[in-house]
Amino acid sequence: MKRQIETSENFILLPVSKTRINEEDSPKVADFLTKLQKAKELKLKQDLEVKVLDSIDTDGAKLIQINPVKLPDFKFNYPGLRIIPEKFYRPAVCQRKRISAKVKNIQAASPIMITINDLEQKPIEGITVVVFTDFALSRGASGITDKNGLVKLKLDKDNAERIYIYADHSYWGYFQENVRLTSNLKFTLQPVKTDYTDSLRYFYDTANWPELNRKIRVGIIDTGVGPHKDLAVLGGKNLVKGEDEDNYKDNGEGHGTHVAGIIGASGGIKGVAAGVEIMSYRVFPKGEGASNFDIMKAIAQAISDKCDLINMSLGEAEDDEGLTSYIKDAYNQGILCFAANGNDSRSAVSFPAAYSLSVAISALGTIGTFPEGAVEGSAVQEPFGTDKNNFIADFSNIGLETDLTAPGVGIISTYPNDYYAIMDGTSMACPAATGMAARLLSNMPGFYEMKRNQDRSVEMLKFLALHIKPMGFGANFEGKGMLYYNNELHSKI
Amino acid sequence: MNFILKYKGDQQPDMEKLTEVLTVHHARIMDDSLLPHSALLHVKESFVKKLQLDLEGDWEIYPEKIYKIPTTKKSI
Repeated sequence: MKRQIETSENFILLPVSKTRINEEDSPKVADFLTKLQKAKELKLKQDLEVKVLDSIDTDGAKLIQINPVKLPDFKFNYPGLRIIPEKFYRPAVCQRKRISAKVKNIQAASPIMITINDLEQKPIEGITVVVFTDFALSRGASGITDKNGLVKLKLDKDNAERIYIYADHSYWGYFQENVRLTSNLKFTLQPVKTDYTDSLRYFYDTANWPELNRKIRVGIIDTGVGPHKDLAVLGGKNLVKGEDEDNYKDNGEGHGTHVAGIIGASGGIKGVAAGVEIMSYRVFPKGEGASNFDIMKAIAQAISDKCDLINMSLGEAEDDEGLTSYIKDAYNQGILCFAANGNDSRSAVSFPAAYSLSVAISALGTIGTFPEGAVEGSAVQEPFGTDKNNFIADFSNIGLETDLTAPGVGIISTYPNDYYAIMDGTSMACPAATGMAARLLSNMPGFYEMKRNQDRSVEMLKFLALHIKPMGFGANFEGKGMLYYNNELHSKI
Repeated sequence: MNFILKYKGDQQPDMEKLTEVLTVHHARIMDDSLLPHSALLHVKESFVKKLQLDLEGDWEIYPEKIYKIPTTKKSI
């Protein structure tokens, strides 16, 4: 169900840096804060009603009351301010500890053999098979197929509630519910075809779009990028402690390469901003998480390399002041940071997406843009959009910090060593939005003459705001909506 | 444990003073590539409060955090 909020809530408006605005750096924001200081109630652009409840000096923080569903509109129409929900602190009383326990003792029945083949019935090695006999209790077994396409699993029941099958690359995954488990099971995977209309290409006709004719530089903070014949990486740096700083290729996990392809692939497939300058900042050691310090270094490097946009398809639940300060630095130097909402099944928007100076992206899917039986079918969940085939993915985090939505279910993109892969997530939606922003900004009048400062970020957001369409999900799920180019958005909205 | 040291001031930080305080608290700089604005420190958790006090508000200290790639794949 959509969360519809009719009542207003309190928010604090703060200048981007420090607690007071510098009129010389940001005359428009200073003027707006002064306007708020003088008026108690204001009717702004697009029927935005704001009540000013309190203020710290003319050039300082304002406590305002606004309908939260209007926040994305406010943010795009009046950028250059941090928007922080008013918080109330309680005495630090120690809470009782909760006990949570899961039953682990599984009486294993006879093992079952699962075979994974391609359409020609050839076995596929390296496929992950996850069988849940009790999904709610996370009971079951998983394994990876051998060179004969076989995996042997011991399970406690003769019925699987759910089976998920995942390929790293080259094949669509598979999903089935309520499967009778016999001693031998066989599944066939569909190959990835680069001319397939996935949800990204359903909305954006990338194959027929021209390459960007003016320079836009996008920094990708991820697992590294490439090698792939469809990707030209201009430069970058490996920021992982103890690794070779000149090796900013993918660490082998493929995530950063997939992200980069969505933004700027040009060859077997095309990204939304083919022709963009890609900078790869590797912060993930293989199989491990990324240190916030390495991410801070990556943002600092992206600033120094004069990126225009930064893509961060990563996140954590809690705030992080170290990272905040660098996102703020980027904003103050005319660079916008796009971040993924996170994939915790409708949980709160992750950090850094939740930070008010980031552009937070949720993931949308479209029924009919993935094969029948594909894993993507399990992501279909309400709310459905104005076009009833569109849905916000079940895994996507949501909340009023969301700024935009973008396709993130069943996305075809590049994978290291010239493969193509399907991936799902707000990690894929984020570069779809970043790439679209790059495409739009390359046509923004006056963009290339602007000084790299906070005003540049403000003007970039205002320009992007002119190219956003609401998709009918409500602000909690889609923020202000989805970026579009050249009046093309192939959905019936 | 690793911590991030972040300079708060507007002027150039006094690096000599910083080095002295870090030495007193047996704090080791693990990564100086963002100095003079930030650094990655290794210091015993029990020393952090005192270290923060001795830095007299010029620097903030946050724990190093680890970020993951958001995945949608189910696992057991």
